[in-house]
Amino acid sequence: MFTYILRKLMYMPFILLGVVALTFMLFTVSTKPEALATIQLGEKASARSKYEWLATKGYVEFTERGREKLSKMEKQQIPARGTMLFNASILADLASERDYLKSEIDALAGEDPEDKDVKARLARLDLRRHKNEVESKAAIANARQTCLLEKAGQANLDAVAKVDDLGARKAAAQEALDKAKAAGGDTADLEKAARDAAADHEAALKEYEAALALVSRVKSESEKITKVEDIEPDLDYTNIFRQFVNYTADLLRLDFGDTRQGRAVTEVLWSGAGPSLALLLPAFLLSELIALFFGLLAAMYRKSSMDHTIVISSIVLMSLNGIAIIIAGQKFLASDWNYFPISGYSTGFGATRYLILPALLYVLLSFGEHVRFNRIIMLDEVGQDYVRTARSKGLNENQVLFKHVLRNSLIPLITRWAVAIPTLYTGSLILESFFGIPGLGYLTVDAIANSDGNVIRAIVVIGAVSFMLANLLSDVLYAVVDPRVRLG
Amino acid sequence: MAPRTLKWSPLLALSAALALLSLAPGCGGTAATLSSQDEGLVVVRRSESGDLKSIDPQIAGDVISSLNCGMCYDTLLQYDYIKRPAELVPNVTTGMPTYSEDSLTVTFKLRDDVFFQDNRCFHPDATGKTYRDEGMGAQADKGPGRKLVASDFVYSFKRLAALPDSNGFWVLEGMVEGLDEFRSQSFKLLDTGPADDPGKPWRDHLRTAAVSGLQAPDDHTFVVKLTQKYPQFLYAITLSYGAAVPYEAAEYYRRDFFRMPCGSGPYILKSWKPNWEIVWERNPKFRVEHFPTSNAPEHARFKPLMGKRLPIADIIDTRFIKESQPRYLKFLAGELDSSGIDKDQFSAAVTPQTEVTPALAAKGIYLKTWEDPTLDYMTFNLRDPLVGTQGNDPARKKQAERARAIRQAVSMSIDREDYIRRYLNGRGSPALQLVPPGITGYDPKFDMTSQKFNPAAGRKALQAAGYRLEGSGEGPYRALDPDTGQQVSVTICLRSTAASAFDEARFYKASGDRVGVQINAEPLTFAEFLKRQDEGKGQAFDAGWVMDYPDAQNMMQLLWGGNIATGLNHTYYDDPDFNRLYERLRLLEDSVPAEKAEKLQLIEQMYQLLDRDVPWVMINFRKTFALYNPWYIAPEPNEFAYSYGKFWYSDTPRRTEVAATRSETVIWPALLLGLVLTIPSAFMVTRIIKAQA
Repeated sequence: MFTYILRKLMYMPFILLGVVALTFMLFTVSTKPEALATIQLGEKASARSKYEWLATKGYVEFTERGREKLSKMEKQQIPARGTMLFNASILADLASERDYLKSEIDALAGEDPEDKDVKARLARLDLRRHKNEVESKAAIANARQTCLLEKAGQANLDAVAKVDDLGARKAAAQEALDKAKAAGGDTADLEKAARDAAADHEAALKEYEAALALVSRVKSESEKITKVEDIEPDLDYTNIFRQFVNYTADLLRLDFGDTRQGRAVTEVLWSGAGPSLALLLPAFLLSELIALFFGLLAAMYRKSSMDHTIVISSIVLMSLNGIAIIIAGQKFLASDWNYFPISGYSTGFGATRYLILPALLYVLLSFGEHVRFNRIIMLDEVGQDYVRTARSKGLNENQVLFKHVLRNSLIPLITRWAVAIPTLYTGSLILESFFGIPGLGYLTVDAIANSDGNVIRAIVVIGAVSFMLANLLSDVLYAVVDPRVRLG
Repeated sequence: MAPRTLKWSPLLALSAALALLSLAPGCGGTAATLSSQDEGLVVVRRSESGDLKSIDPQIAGDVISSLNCGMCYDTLLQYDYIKRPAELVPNVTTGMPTYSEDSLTVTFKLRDDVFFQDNRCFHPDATGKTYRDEGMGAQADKGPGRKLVASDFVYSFKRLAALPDSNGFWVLEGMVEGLDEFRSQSFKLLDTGPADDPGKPWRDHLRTAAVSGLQAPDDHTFVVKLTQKYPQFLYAITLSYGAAVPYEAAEYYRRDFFRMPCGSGPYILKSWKPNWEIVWERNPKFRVEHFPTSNAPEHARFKPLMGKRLPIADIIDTRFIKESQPRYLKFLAGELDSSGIDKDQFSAAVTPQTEVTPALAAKGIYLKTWEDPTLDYMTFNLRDPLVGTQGNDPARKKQAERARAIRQAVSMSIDREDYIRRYLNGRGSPALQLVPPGITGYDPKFDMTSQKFNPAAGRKALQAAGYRLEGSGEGPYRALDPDTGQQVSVTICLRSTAASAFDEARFYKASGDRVGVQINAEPLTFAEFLKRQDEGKGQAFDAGWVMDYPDAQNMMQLLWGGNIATGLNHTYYDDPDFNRLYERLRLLEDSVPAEKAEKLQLIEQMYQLLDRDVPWVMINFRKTFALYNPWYIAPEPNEFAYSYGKFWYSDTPRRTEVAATRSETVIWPALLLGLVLTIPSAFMVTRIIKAQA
C-alpha cells in the first residue's frame, strides 16, 4: 500500500502541472496580458501600474537594449526601472492614439475638404495629432533622459532641503549672536558660528543653482528629440514558455497574489474556508447519515409501504426546485415562525444558531438523490448470496445490515464521498448567499462577477489538489473496507 | 424469506430525534437578541446589497465605499441635512469659502476644534514603523489624534493626484495650478526607491513637493488656485475624494490604508468583515456640532433631534446581504431599520396607489419615495460601422444617414412607460432628455422628439434612409438592407447576467420588432461589460449614470469630445458644435441668474444636436422607494451626500419593544411538523416491531 501511495503521490505533480497549464490557458493565453492587467488592477488603474504588474508577473521583460540601459543606470545607483516601465506604458498609449488619429484622417481623405463638417473634424483631429506629437516628444525625451532627469530632480530636491536647513541654522546663529551682543557678553565663538553657517548656506545655494542648471540642461536636451521612430522599446513581451514558468513558480510558492480589493488571496481564502466548512461539513455528515439510514431501511423493506413512502418522498424532494425550498424554508421557518435566525453569521460557537437552518435545508435538498442512490446500492447487496448465507447462519437483521450489507456497499459510497468532499470547501453558493454566510461559495461568485482572476485561479488550483488527495484517500479506503482490493 | 429481525431502538431514537428537532424552536429571535445587545445605546441597523470595496476616500469610487468614507472622514463642506434643494454648508470650515475677484483663488478657513481620531499611527512608538511591521496586536495602544490643519487638505488633494489607482482625480484634473505636473512626477517615482522600500521617493514627493495651486499659509487657511473658472469645484471636493486624511495614517498603514481608516469624522471603525458586516462606533473626540433646526412643517419629524449633539447614533451596524429576500425579511423582523424594495417583494409591500400595503402599515412601517438623479440609457458606439456616424462624402454620407436612421428607429421603438411599468414596478419616469428632474436644466419643454415612443416615425426614418420594410399593422416588421437584403440587426451589451437582464433582452427584442430592427442582447458580467465598453467592442451598451453633483455639466460631460480620451465618453460622440456649447456651459453657475439663463439656452441647443444625432437612447430616470420601520426617523433624501451617517437616528428602546412582538415564536407549525414526522416514524417502528415478531 505504501508503494502505491508513493507512486500516486509521484503522479500528482504531473496532474497538478496539467491543472496549472489549463488555468494558464484560461487566464493568460485566452486573454491579452494588458487585458489581464486591467482585469486584475481595475479599469481605472494607470498604464504605469499595469506595466508594473505585467513586469512583476513576468509578462513583459526588458529588451537587450533596455537591460543594458538599466544595468548602466544601476551601476550609477540610479533607480530607473519604474520610470522605464512608466515610459513604456506612455509610449504604448501614445502609439494607440496615433493609430486612431491616422485611421480617422484616412477615413476623411476621400471627403470634400471644403465641407464645413469635414473642415471642423479635420481641425479637431489636427489639434489632437499636434497634441499627440508634443506628448510623444515629451515622452520620448523622458524615456531618453529619464535617469538624468531623476538624478537632477533628486539633486534639486536635496539641494532645496539643504538650503532650507542651512538657512534656518544661519538665522539661528545670527539671532544668538545678536542676543549675545545685546547682552554685552563674549561673542567671538558665536561670530565664528554665524560666519560658518553663512558660508555653508552660501555653498548650499551654489549646489542648488548647479542642480537647477542640470535640470534645465536635461530639459533642453529632451526637447531636441523629435522623432517617435527614433526610440526603440525598452520592453518586450516575454515568450510564452517563460510566462508559463513564472506563472507556475507563483503557484508553487502559493503566491496567489492579491484580490482586486487589495487583500491577499490566501488570507481571503483562509477566512472564507472556516464558515464554508462549518456549514457544509456537519450538513454533509448529517445528510449522509440520514440518507444511509433511509437507504438501508428502503432496501430492507423493499416493495413494502415503507419503501414506497421513502421512494415517493425522495422523488418529491428531488422534483422540487432547490431555490424554492430555500426561499420557503427561510420565509416560514425563520421569518414567519421564528424558529431560526433569518440570516447572518457569528464567530466561534455563536455561529451554530445561524448554521442550523441552512444545514437542515442542505439535508433536505440532498435527501432524495442520496437516499435513492443508497437504496440502489443496498438493494444490489441485499440480493447477494452472502446475505442469504448470513441470515441462514442465524445472524440477526442488525448484524446482517450493518456488518455485511453496509460494509460491502461502502465502495460505491466512498467513490461518491471522494467526489463530494473536495467541493465542500468551496461551499454551497446558494445557501451561503441566502443565509449571509461569508464562505467561499459567496467569495467565488463575487470573484466570477468581478473577473477576479487570482481568486478564481486559487480556488481552481486548490480544488484540483484536494480532489487528487480525496481520490488517493478513497483508493486507500477501498483497500481498508474491502480486503479483496489490493493496492499496487 | 428469512425472518427479519431488527433492533428498533436506534431507529426509534432517530425518529424521536427528528420529531424533537421539529419541536425545538428557540434558535430564532435575532431581533430580540440584537436589541438586548443594544441596551442603553442608539444603534442604527442597516443593510447594503453590495460589498464594500474600500474606505480610502481618495480611492472610493462607488456609493457604498463613499458612504462609509463619510462615516470616518471629513470634507471641507457638506450638504445641509434638511434643507431642499440641498445646499452646501460648512463642515470643518468656519464659513463658506471666499473667492478672489477672478474666481480663481478659493480660500477656506478651518475650524480650530477638529481632531483626528486616536490611532496607533499617532503613537510615538509607531514613528518610522508601518502597520505590517507592528501587526494587529499593537493597534490597541493608540496615540492621541492631532488637530486637523490646512496642510492635511494640501496633502490629501496631492494624494488624490499621486495615487495611481485613485478613482477621483477627474474632479481636479486640469483645474488646480501645478497639480497635473505633480501627478506626472509622482507616477515616475512609483517604486523607484531602494529595494527594501521602493515607495519611499514617491511618499517623500507626496509629502514634500510643493504644488503652487495648493497652499496652507497657516494652520487654519487652505488656499486653492484654480487654472480656470470651475463652478462645480465645491461640489466636486464635497465628494469623498476631497476628504482629509492624516499623512501619518497613510504612511503607517500604506497598502492596508483602504481597510484601516483614520479620519476626523463622526465614527471610528469597530470592525469590518468583508461580505458580512461593518460596524462603526461613535468618535468620542468628534467636534461640537449640532443637528440643524427648522420650523418648517415638513421637518416636523426631526423635531426630537433638532439641536442634539452629533453624531446621534452610538453605533451604525451595516450588514452586507446580497439576496433581496433575507434583506426584506430581516427588515420585517425588526433587525434592520430600513429597506429598499426589490421587484419580488414590491407587490407585497406597496399598493398600486404608492402606499404601503395594509399588512405593513399595521406594523407601523412607512414608505418614502423620491426622484433619484440617475439616468438609465443605451449608448451607441459611434465607431461601429453599422450604427456609428461615418462622415460626409457622398458614399459615407449615405451610410451616416443610415446609421442615424437605425439609432433613431431603435430609440423610437422603445415604449419607456411600458418598460418602467413592467420591469421597474413604476419606479421611474421616462427619460426624454439628459438632465433629471430637480436639477437645473430639466424642463419638460426640452423633451427630445427622437426619444419619444413613436414606432411609425422610426419606421419612416428607416425607409427614408433607404431600408426596405416588410410587415404591417402592429408588426413584427423587418427592415432590410437594400444592398445585402439582410435584416438590420443591432446587438446591445447588457451589464448583468441576472434574470432581469434576460427580461430586458426580451423587451428590447420586442421593441425592435416594431420598427424592423432585430435587437439582440448580450448579457455580460459587469467586469466583462466594462472591458468591452473600454475597448469599444460592441454596437450598443446598456448604461447608467448616477450624477455626482447637482449640475447639468456632470451629465453633459458624458458626450463631450474631450472626454473620449478619459474614457467617460464611451459613445465616441465628437460633434464640434456640441463640444463648443459644452465648453461654455461648464463655466456657468446656476446661482448667477444671467448665467443660469444662458445655461438653459445652451442646454436647449445641445438637445437639438442630440435630437438630430441620437447617440443615446434614454430610457428612464429612477425613482427610489424605501421602507422604514416606525422607530427610525427617515433621513431627508439626498443622493449627492455621503456624510449623513452622523444625523441618523433609531429609537432603540422602541425597536426592542416592537421587535419582541414581531419575533414571537409560532408553536402550531412545529407541533404539526412534529406530528407529521411522528406518524411515519411510529409507522416505521411498528413495522419493524412486527418484523421482529
